[in-house]
Amino acid sequence: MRRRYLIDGQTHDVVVTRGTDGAVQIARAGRRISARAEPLPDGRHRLTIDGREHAVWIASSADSVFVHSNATGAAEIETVDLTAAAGHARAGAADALTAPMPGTVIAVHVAVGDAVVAGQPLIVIESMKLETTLIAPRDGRVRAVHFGVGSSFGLKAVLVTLADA
Amino acid sequence: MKRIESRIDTSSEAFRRNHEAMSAIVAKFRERMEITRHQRPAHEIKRVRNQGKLLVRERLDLLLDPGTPFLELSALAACEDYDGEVPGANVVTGLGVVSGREVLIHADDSSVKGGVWYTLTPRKLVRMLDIALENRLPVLHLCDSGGAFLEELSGVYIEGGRVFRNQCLLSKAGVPQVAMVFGHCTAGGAYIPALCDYSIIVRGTGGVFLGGPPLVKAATGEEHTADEIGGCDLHTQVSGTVDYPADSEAQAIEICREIVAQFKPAVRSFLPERDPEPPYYDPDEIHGIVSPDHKVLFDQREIIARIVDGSRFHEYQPAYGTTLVCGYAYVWGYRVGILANNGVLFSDSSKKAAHFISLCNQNRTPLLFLQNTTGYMIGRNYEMEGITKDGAKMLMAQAGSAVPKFTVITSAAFGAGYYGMCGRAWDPRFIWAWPNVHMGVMGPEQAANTLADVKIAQLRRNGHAPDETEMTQLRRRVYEKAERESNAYFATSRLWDDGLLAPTDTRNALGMALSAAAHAPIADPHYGIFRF
Repeated sequence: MRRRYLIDGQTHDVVVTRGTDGAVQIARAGRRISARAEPLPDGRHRLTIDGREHAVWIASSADSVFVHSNATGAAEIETVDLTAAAGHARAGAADALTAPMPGTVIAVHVAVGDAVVAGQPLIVIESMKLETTLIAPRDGRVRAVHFGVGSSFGLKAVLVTLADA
Repeated sequence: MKRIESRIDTSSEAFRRNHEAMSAIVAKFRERMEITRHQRPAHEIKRVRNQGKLLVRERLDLLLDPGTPFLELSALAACEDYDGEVPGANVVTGLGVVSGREVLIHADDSSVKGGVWYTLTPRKLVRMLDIALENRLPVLHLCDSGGAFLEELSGVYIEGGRVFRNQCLLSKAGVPQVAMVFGHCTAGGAYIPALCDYSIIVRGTGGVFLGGPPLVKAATGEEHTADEIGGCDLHTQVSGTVDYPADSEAQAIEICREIVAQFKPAVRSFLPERDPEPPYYDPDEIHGIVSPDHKVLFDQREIIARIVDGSRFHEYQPAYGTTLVCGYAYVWGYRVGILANNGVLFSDSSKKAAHFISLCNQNRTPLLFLQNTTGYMIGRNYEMEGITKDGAKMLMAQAGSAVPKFTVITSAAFGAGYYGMCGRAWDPRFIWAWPNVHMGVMGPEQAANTLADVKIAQLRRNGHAPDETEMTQLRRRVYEKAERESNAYFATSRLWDDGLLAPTDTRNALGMALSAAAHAPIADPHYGIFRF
């Protein structure tokens, strides 16, 4: 698996391969590193990296891992999501909210010029007996609302467009 | 595998309102379960005690390994039939652990009318035995029933036969069965212990006979006590119909546990591939995501995030056919391929489903259907595009699947979408509905309007022009009937599912179901003709 980590502001690109015996192989800039992590009874982990052992404390959050050892102090390792933006390179793809089904607008929660945050409800549509709330895919500003309450639209019609905030 | 990024605002008004409504629905469901399991009239409990018998739940406590989960099936069967007076259709069925082995259990509940069979009783037993056949799970029978209810004979006749037929097929497939005879096994019921590999009978209370004392007296004039014509000593010493005598129910259960302990260990067709990890997002938040109104759509990724390991999900074709979400995740370490409705099924979503289902069959990944469907898209444009034949592709791939399929209905199950998404008729290994679910051929509003229009036209033809109030009343009557019959309790009462499930219990139920399904080998995938 190809991974990108951020440590102290520096980017590290590695390829991680899991072995069958719990060991992992890390390839980084042409160098191969063999590593293994095992829990210790006192709550620490023993990291074995190319034969050298380190006893460390590990704490992890959603995107970061903190590694602390008495010898080296603490380091934060951030994971950079390489596929998060996959498929969004098409210009403005995320800015046009299209209708997943043909139907009618039953509520509009925003007006042109409003600042919106990702996840905020923008427009509610009804189609095939279903009420669907469309949310902002990213932070931005409402550029246009193409259909008002009561208007009908077809499949994949653009309902709302966003612009940068 | 990447974690789903939840978009739910748990501080929003909509979340709070949903949470309150869903929590009330779930609380009501748990209350009905509690009543069905434990509430019995005092005189019935006294009768069971006077016979020197244990109640069915007490027997299960002795039989099941302490501290292990018991996944009860169709606990609320018959809850909306027979005026709600036959709890669980007088029988408890479920998946549990006995002597370390996963087994299915059939336990008669004799606390109501002596545990007689109503029409839904053999239907519930046949479903449990079908699960045993499909998953190759051993079955333990705890027999204590007065036989067929005399007022339900015609309903019991055909389906009752299938109980015994399924027992024969289980034996033929090499799946062991054990019967414990605590009460009477009369007429057809006598075949239950007779068709098992092992049987145990309790001296004094247990009896096995094709015809009980009253029937024998009527037919031949012979007068015998139950013990004389089919008791413990007769069957374990003379006829050889039953294998082991026991002096008490507890002793019979111990003998059964010892028999199960020496079953050959199961050979599993798939195993967990990762260490299990609890969902990152709190499953209780499902209550705030799902609207009690099945017409309000929610993102099923939010549900997936609260069921699967680490809330991690690899979405397949994220930009194509977006009204059906497909992808891989892990549940209790088991890899699953998930199909979840996020709107109406179109041609693209149907083709995506057919493709994803064949992928999962090819790589031996069990399928999980998360249903919230109002059906396939209708209209001239969509017919021109081939919506019907694309839906047919989805059905063909789904029905031809060799991997185990599991279905959870999260909100709506209407129209042919219920078929495509592996409804009851499509043999999912297990199918559950949440207590908020609405289902049926069409929605109550559509049914009411269509039927009312037909009736009004009929009245007009007969020379009676209904006035406004009459028409409103007619509509309301049809609507109320359709609404009642689209209710989750109506469906579970008739065994349309394997029981209702609280949303927060879904993950655990799936874990048990996956482990159970691994007992059966997986055949090579092959399909019928796809219409291209």
